[in-house]
Amino acid sequence: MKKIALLGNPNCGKTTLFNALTKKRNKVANWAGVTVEVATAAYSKNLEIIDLPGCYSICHADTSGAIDEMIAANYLFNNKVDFIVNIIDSSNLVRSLYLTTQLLELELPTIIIVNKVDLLKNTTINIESLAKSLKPYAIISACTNDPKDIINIKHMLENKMLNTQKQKLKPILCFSDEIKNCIEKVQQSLALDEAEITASKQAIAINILSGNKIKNIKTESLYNTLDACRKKLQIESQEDMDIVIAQARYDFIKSIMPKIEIKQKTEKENDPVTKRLDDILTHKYLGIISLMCIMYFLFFFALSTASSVQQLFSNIGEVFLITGTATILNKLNSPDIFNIFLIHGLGQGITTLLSFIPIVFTMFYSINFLEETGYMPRAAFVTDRLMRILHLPGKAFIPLLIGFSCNVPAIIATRTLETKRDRIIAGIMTPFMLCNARLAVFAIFASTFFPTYPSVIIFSLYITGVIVAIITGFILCRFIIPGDIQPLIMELPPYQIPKQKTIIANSLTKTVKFCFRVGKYIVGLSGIISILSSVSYEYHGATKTLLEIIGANITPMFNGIGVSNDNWPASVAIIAGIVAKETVIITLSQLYNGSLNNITTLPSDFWAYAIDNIQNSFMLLVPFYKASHNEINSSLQANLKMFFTNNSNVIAYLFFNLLYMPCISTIITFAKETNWRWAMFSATWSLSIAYLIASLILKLTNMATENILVISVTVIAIALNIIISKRIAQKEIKNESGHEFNSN
Amino acid sequence: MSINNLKPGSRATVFGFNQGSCTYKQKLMSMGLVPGAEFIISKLSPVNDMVEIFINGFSLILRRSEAEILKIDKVCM
Repeated sequence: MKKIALLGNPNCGKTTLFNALTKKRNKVANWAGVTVEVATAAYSKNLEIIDLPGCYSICHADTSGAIDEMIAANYLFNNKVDFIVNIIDSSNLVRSLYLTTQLLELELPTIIIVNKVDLLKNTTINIESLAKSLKPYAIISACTNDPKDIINIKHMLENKMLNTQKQKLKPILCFSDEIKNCIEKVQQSLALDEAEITASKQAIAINILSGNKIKNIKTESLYNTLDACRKKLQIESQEDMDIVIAQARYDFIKSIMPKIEIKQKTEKENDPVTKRLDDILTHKYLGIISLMCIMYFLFFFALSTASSVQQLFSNIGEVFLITGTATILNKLNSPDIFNIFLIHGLGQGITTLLSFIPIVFTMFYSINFLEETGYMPRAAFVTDRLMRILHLPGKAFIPLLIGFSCNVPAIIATRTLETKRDRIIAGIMTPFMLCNARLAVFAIFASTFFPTYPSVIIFSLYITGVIVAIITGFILCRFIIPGDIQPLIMELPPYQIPKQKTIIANSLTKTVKFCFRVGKYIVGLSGIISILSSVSYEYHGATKTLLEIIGANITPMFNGIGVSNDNWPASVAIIAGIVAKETVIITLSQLYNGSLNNITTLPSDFWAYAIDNIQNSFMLLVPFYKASHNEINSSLQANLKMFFTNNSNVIAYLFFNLLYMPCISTIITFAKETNWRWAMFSATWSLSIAYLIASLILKLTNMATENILVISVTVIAIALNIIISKRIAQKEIKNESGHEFNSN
Repeated sequence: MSINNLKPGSRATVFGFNQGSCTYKQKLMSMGLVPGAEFIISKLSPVNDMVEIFINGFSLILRRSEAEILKIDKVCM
């Protein structure tokens, strides 16, 4: 199998080309230890295309930089890549060619594709003279949106593959004779294990000379040679080697530029629309306000679209997977254990997953939309100063904001952060953002117990979430995983109108990926809880489900946060809420009315029931149509008032619900993005914080004495958690410095 | 001279680097900020601690404090 590596700057249209070439037959390879996805796809029987992360350079001084670039560089130096396709953004020729000069040194057959030529306004590019300057590499011009160009590129790939089987290519060296001399010297004294290192000696020599480390290559023996070279060159230039080499590359590019790029206008200034928009969007005060407005409208769109469709999705699940299977199994007279497993385990599990799909999709869509417009770097510009208090880059603000709608896509959005440390910190902070599912629970409680000022309660819950997140972030970045903030160098691309087709296709693939990667765990875990709530036993003279028995027995644990023993449904609801926060209300209303019942009676005519149910959920898609939930709510409200005896208990319960644990889907997503240890930390950390805050509230309002014990226990738990996780973090850092970024 | 001494709209060239992170320096160079490169300061935002520069046809943002690593010369117009 031969490998073609696709390389280019970020945003050069690389992935679009990849999709066009492979017709999306891509599979995603996950990289050990990090969650940067590198897509690979079979192009033909014996040809594989690898879409490497976008990068500006493949030379790196150490491993402290961005994960994405490291992966691209390590892949090229440590894997057998047979061909390179380099995509160049024609509106950013100079910078794109900097990467090209490095790629050409690899001595691999390379095709260079000049992209986005159709978008050029005031300049024309002379492809032939570019080809001449970079001889003997094939150059073709292409705009990835045109199918003709794709066919052209395909021809090129196929022909080129055939013609350059074993032929060694002469690389272009943009260096002066002195530097060339040094490169040769280093090359000669390099002792390489041929089996392991496949990259060209020359490229390795240049990298070593500029002081870069390459994985699997030891440079200790070269010390004398390097020193001699440095001495020789530094007398002439008095600069560090990497500067000399970078400068040489840029000098070479500048020297060929006049022949390649023909400008109609003398000075190319920034796009005027972009400039005007940036006056507002990156304004010192208006910037943050407009960020909030943009995000608000985005959430509004995503949530209102998703919530109407969500009902449809979960109804489809309920009708077909739960009631449907139940009807069939009932007719078949299958054994009970089998029924419980299929209906409650699998059916309920998949239904939980189904209800997540709309919100995950619309959030992916919105994030993708924002990314495509080019606004994201502006958001980082505005929030960077704020986030630096937590030693996080400005980009980390986005996942936290997304957390207010749903924590799951928010955790996935932490992927835009450059280092693993940033991803972990942002991922642990995110669940404290009051998500929409929890809001539904709090709204009912607040309107029941505090009818005169429900918004004050809700608002203080929001604020508490944010404050806890900040404190958590602070503790994480100061004590648990201390680290320096990454320096910021970010391109501000001109604004663009996003192409709907690409965004939708992109969000769809991401959603499907989410379903397969995270979905199986969500189905499994929520299935288990659902089975618990359906298996019933005789208990103290009454038939009760396992979940109720567990709930009744663990209620004393929640005494400290104001749940009395009579109010055991509240503690069952806490457990049920781990599956998905909105189930807290459903569980409470069912338990107060008697017992947990997922399916009371099977409908006599399944199809009539199914059609009726689906029709109703379609009605919800019609704007302004509201189903009447009032009846359920009023009986629930009466019950709530009966069981929660005083308001301070309610407040403690609400704050506990806000903080106690991310829902299963969030935990799993976080575990998949980092690892299970950090997911466990996130869960236990939030649980102990929730205990602490809830019991503090009781203490302050009730002056209950037994809470002192609870408070001191939780404080000890928190301290232990910090100490243990700090050790884990140190171990992880130690392990990773050795064999990080191992490719397959 | 440092980037923070300049006013928005002024032109400058890089002539070297102060001591600092090697990765950062290399990243700056890969974006075109090598000795001899000319750029325009488009925006200085002390509130956000950001500086926006225009080089080789694209805009780049840097933190003001970090951009101190660049030794620059003002270009008279």
